Amino acid sequence: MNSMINSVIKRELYSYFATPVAYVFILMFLVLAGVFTFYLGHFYERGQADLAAFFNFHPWLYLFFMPAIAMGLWSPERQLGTIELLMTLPISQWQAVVGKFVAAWLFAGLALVMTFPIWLTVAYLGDPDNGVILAGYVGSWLMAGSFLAIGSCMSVLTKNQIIAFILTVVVCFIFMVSGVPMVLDAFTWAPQWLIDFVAGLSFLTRFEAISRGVIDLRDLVYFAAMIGLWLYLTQWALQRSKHQ
Amino acid sequence: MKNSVIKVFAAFIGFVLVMAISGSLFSGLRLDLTEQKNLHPFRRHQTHFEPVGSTG
Repeated sequence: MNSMINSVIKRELYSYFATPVAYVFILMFLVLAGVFTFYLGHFYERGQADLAAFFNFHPWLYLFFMPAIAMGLWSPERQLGTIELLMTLPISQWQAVVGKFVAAWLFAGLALVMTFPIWLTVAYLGDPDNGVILAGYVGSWLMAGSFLAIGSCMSVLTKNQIIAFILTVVVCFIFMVSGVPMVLDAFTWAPQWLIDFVAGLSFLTRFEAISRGVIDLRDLVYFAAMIGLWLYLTQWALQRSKHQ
Repeated sequence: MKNSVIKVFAAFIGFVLVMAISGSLFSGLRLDLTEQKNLHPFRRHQTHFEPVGSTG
């Protein structure tokens, strides 16, 4: 079973780097991460030896970059008809879904790892708390996985990559802002447990908690459950599209 | 069709249950990665920029 998933992962990763798209994507991500950190985040002006200025913008960067990766997971396969070929291979739908997702997640992880010069900068200029930075990277990668799982599901719903991109941005945005006071104020009529639940669905709240350097098991369960739920829905949608 | 909607509904219920159970069971279980250091200011000689347009 694992070898089948590995095959899908290798195929996907190879397809990313077979065209310049992956390189352009990583370059754009690194440039924007740098611009956000050093200019919008006032990295130098803050005078603090941490990467808060870097991690604060990750949810907003991911809001556009992760859907851009995820839109290519299933939509092109459906549009070109290669999904039929994929489904004739001796792999289950679930293996294909997991394999494609893991490949995209690894690719996002690679883009994240490539931001290490920012950590080198802060380590050169000061004496940062590396534990907090490590937690920030872990939280960021988990959040990227959640974005990609949502994107995978949206991608399988439509043959059009642009529509998949827009749907993913919208759904991810809803999950991002669900913990913002402005949104929670709309739930004043609701019981407290419902307000807590809606607030707990927010990527921002969970990511901010982890990026402070303390990895709470509840946050890990949240990201794992989000990924699991959306991958299940991806497989469900794939099954339905096959019957249609 | 009906069966498939039930499956999706069950998935959402499962998600909500996982969130609720983890919220009560795993309260306080956390891994503290902080090194408890005080934050040090940068060595300003290499990082300080004069504001653009300031003529004194």
